[in-house]
Amino acid sequence: MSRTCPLRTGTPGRRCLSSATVQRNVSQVTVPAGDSGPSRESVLAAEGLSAAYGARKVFRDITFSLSPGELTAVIGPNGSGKTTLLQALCGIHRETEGAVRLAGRSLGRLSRREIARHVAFVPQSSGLDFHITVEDAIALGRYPWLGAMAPFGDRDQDAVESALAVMALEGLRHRPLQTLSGGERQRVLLARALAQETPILLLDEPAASLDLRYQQGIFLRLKQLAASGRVAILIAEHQINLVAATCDRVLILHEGRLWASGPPGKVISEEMIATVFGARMQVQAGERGRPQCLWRIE
Amino acid sequence: MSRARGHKFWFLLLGLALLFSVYLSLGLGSADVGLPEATRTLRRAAGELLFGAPSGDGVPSGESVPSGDGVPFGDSVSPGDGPTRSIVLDIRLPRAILALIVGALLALSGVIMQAFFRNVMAEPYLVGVSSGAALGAVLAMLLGWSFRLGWFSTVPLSAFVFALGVVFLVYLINRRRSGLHTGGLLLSGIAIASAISAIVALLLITSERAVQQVLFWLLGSLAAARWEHVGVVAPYAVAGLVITLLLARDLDLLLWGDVTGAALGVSVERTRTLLLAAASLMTAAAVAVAGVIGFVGLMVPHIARFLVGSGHRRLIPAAILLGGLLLLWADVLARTLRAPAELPLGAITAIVGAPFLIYLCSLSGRKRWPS
Repeated sequence: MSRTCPLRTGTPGRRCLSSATVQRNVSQVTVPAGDSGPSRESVLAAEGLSAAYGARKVFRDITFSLSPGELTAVIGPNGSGKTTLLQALCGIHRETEGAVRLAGRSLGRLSRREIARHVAFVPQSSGLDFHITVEDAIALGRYPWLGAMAPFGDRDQDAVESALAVMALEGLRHRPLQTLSGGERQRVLLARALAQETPILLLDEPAASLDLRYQQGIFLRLKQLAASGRVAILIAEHQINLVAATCDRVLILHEGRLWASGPPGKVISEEMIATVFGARMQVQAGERGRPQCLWRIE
Repeated sequence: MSRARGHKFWFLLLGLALLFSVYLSLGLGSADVGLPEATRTLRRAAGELLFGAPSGDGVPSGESVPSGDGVPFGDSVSPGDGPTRSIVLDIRLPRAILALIVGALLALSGVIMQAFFRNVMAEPYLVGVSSGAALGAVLAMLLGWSFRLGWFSTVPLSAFVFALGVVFLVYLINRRRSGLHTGGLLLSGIAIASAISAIVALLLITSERAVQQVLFWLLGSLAAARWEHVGVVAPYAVAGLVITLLLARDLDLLLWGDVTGAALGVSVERTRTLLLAAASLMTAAAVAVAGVIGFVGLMVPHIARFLVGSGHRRLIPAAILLGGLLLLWADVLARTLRAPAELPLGAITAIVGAPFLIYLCSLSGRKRWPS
């Protein structure tokens, strides 16, 4: 069985979600009514998902699915549970109820390593006190495929090279991570997720603390990546204009539930911003149904 | 790949240095037994080991060995070379091997702890192993306890049990449903360690017995090293090495924190518990036979990282070789500088180690140095 992963077609041997598996399993997934995603098969589905920290409920009864080729954003105020949602989708946050299915298989039945072969999760930038080069940091993305003892082979090196190329990091490969700028470091983390060669990418504020050029660069790359049709990407993001300009679909978390979901032109409105964020912005209709939000500060 | 070749060079160099150092150390010491005698004894012992019975291979014909009970090590004594043989094979050799193992155990625990706490300051004694061991040893010495378990004699056994007891206490305090609470481990480890240090100090002050002996133990020493001690620690060294090598990639990922580790496939809670247990067992075993030797566990991982980078699959073997090498030479200094008196080993490692670590820190921010 050949392995079909984002960015490349691979060699047999190691397990990955093959497209055949995806199709076979996805037919079992019931995509619930009201889900506004495209009609393509989902690789990840949340069904009635709730999450809590002890007694505090973060969100409840969230249902949606992600499909390959789709760039989806989840937005919402601080504390609305965006990060928790991403972590619940890859099994890192475990105080949950309801179900998450990866290509039809229940998340709870998969080991951490199996999950890491299906889902790459990039948390908000984490500090590192130890010396590591860009290339070695990206190579960590191969670990879910290697286990404890397998040698780092040509196949893995190829994945790293490809990720370096996609994120335009070839020139920095031997540089220590500590010497990079915030934008370069963020690209390294994304490259690490790409080297993981998963059909699903979950990114927690990938453009946080980046300047305009890097914000644009990263979202452009993510858009291209999704457009390749092999990856489903879900981003938690605050920059509503970046979301409006690039994403195919927006999920809005508010008051502990999935308040709305749909294409940016449908869900991003002045009322939504006022209700959900308590902020006043003027929303203009833009090209191709992509709205633009302007501050109203007087 | 030139980088890989560079690492191979270091491993080869360290490995050869280690073998050569063991050999050299057999010819150094307070007794008047030099390298030529040591070499002769070694060759004869090797011959006996290989051919079962004492052979005359390479031995001057005048010193024919009576084929008494035929025990290869130590017991068959021939007139003239008995003391030499005993000094080389029963005192210096086990001491050198023990130094290698203890150094390796401490270095390996240091590597684990630094990744576990994601902190360049972490070291093997952070969660209370040393204070627990000290309490156990001091109680055994002051109260004159006497018991043994296999090769484990009173003081090491008591130190070992108390060391693990303290770590387990710290572990229980910080076990949560969601996993181990790292910050709490650090704080409660330090709190319990200071409380126990105070108790140890009070015990010492109020007791008139064996204060010198206790102090010497607290600063670490291999003066009492025998083959039994090698037998006591070797299983921990082997098990620790296997576990750490199997978890080497997990250690790489844990450096980035629990969330990134989990996202890249580490079963964080299980791995953390396993790592803490492995590091504690290794440190407790080392402390039980050699006392509290400071600095090796802190310093060696940094030097190793400087040589081969922070990937644990290279870092672990490098740290083991370096830890063994460092402690072997520290011990040679400890037993020769003021021969026939012994200097505390922990004092030597700190005096030699601190300036070197400071030198490495002065390179901070330059080419290859971390943090």
